Amino acid sequence: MIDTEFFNQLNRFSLMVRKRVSSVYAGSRRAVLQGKGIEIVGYREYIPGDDVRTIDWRVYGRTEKLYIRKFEEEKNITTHILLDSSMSMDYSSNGMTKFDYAAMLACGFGYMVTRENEKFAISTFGENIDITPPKRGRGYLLHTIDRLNQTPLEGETKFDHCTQQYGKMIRSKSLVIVISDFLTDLDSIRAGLYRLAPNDLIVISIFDPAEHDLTIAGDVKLHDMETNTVRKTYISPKMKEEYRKLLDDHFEGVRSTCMHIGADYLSFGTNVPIFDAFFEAVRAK
Amino acid sequence: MAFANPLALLGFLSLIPIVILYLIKPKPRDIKIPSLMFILDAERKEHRYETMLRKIIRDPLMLMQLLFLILLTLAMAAPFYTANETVRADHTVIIIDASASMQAENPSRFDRAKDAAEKFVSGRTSIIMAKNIPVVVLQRGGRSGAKDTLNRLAPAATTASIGDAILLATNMIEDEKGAIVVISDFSNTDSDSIAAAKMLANADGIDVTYKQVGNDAENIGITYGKLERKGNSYEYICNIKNYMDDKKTVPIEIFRNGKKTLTDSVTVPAYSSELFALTDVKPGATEVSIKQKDSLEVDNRAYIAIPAVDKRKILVVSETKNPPAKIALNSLPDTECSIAKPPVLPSFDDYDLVVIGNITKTSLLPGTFEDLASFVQSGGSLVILASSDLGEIETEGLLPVQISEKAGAAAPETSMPTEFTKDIAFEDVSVITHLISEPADGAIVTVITDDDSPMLAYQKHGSGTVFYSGFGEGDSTWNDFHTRVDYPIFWRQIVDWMSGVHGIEEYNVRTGRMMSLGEVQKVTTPSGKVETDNLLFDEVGGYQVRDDDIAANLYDALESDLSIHPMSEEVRTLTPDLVKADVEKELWTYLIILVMFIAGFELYYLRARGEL
Repeated sequence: MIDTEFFNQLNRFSLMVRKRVSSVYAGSRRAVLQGKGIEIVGYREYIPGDDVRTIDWRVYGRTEKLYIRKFEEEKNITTHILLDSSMSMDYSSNGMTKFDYAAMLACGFGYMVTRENEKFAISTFGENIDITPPKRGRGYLLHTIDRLNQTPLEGETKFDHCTQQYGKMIRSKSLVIVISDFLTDLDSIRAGLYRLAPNDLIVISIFDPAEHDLTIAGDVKLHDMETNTVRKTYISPKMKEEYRKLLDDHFEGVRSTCMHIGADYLSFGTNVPIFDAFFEAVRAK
Repeated sequence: MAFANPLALLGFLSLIPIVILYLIKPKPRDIKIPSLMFILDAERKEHRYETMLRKIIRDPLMLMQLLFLILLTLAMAAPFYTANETVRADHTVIIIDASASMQAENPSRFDRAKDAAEKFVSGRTSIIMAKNIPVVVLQRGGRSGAKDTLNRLAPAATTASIGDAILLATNMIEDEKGAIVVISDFSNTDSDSIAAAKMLANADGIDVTYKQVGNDAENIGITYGKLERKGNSYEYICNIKNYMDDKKTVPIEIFRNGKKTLTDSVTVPAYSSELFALTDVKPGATEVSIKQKDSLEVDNRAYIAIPAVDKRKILVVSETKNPPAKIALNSLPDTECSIAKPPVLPSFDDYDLVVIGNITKTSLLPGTFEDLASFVQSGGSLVILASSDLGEIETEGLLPVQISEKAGAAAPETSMPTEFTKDIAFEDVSVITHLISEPADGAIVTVITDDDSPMLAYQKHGSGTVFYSGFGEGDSTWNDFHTRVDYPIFWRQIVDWMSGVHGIEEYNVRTGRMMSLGEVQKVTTPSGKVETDNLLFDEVGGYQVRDDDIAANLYDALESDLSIHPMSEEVRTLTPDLVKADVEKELWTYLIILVMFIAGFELYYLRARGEL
């Protein structure tokens, strides 16, 4: 269950995104980029290939030279939050599932964005993605929290497939936040991240401490949460060591991919207080 | 299969707690995990063998522990089974022919025999050197002891009594599974005695097998030698035999006290022999050496030892002016004889031997026999010859006989052969008069008459010896001994014996002879010094025993004959597997090895799992 108490603590923060806004309804940051928009920010000489509709004929009338109008681009940035809702996110060794923890982070970001009067969307993904259109407003945030509380956790994580589907949703450059345990094939993760790379990207990995340390030992019958594969085995110290190494290598692979595409990579255990994790994420941004 | 220690099978009870623990062991916990893919990868990477093992066996560790206990219990129960198979004997007695012919060839037959013997060494091994007398050089030794002993062995220059060695070996093998291996060149051995000894051993259930070593070899050697006194020196005659198939001219060198003094040669036809004589051989060490290249060295030299004898001073006391005894004594080499007529006599201490001849009861001054007793006690030698009044003379107990009366004819005979009775036919002496007597206490009688009267007797007194001769000093009214050719020989032998000089054959012996020394003494042999109380002359060359130099020679035509009569191929290529027997095959060692292997594997397994 998502705890919204910590939203009060988030009032101090504002999400640091690189944008400028010009409209009354838009966010407060000014964009440095120029493009299609309403407000004229300047003129420059026409170069063949420029859109003829942008030629300011009045100026031509005065100067007999072709000048085109330069507008400030619309800078209302949309935040897309992709939240992993596969079965593996249901794992908990200390009462809080990875999904609950991830959803709180997602809602935290939603809250921050709402405060800036910007649009956001939290879409859950597993084998398929449940796409939600970005909207703004507190009501929408509360509605989203309700929806997340009702979201069933099921299936495997098909990250590549889901990002491919979601990519169509992102029309302009946006802030994309992916929150997942990333317990799936590393190649699929890499492909998905590369697909989202053109956006401002924050990747947050959530893990349960017991999952990382593998606190179990001896004869066990293991059930995979996503695939329902059953394995009888003996967990020896040597095997634990090897398991941790493989796990570390996997997340190192995710981290290095993020570094390569210029995305921020953050990793939190569910034992880390949610506020600390959020503070860390905002500071990094 | 049976168990030597069946009580140990109670150890199987220790399995019960293990099985109970296994049965009450909780089932594996069901755990949901989101990261199974990594566990599967970890399994694949690090525990391939364990995973494989676990696919077959549910609990490998428990199985190992069960196996460990089962095998340990079985091992403690000492299981065995009985198999009838060819095995090496429990106790192998190796007989190595140490005869002179084994020194032939290069490498020698003896070295080859030692090499062969090493292969027959079993857990318990005894080794017998078959010389003319079998010598046990190792009794029930271990493997390393047997090999050390074999390394130390050297061949002898004697004959070999292999039959006796087999009999000795049979006695050494008691109630055990034993085998006898005879390693020899089987060259001129007494096959009858070997076969008889083998049958006796077989009757005791002991296998006797032969291993023949060596091949035919050529030889020329000295196969016989003899010394004869010629006046003050000796003549040496030897036989040089050629075993080769062509005529050979053999160069001969004579060494006198280590220096070459003469060279000569003898031509010997094929398979024939020639005599070689050496005259005027003086006291000291002489060596006759033949310089012919052949396969056997020990018969290429003959060693001659002639003792240097100091002049022995003899005093004859007699009423007769020139008795035959005195004449005989005068003729002896290395002696100086003088006669004294009683009653006035010179000091006895100036003489080595005093002979009391024909005397009457008034001849000697009172105290003369007391002086003689003192002379004998201090090491002097006294000979008392029979005379008419001897029975009435007080001899202070020196006389080895107690004379009762004078009697007539009698027939003497040798009752105990000794050095001084050798080669003398006392039976042929015609005795007309003799003294009836009885031996004194402690006297030794060597010649006796048909009425049991001692004719020759002797007795030790202190350091000296008193000798009695019933033949007198040479009176024809008593007997004709003094007229016989062996009369001077008799006196020479008496004088040599009493002065401690032995016959020349005592100084020139054939190898294989055993000499009893009475007590442990240091003896110098051709190869070094030994301390022994029984000396076996098993090397050719010069020996020094006390102050005497003794030469030992092979002088054996059969040992010098190196021809070999090849035995069957099986005998020549005999291998150590000898005995077919019911064998108890113990299994506990294999089980212990398995237990240790399982324990090691378990440790490895735990270590592989990172639990150690």
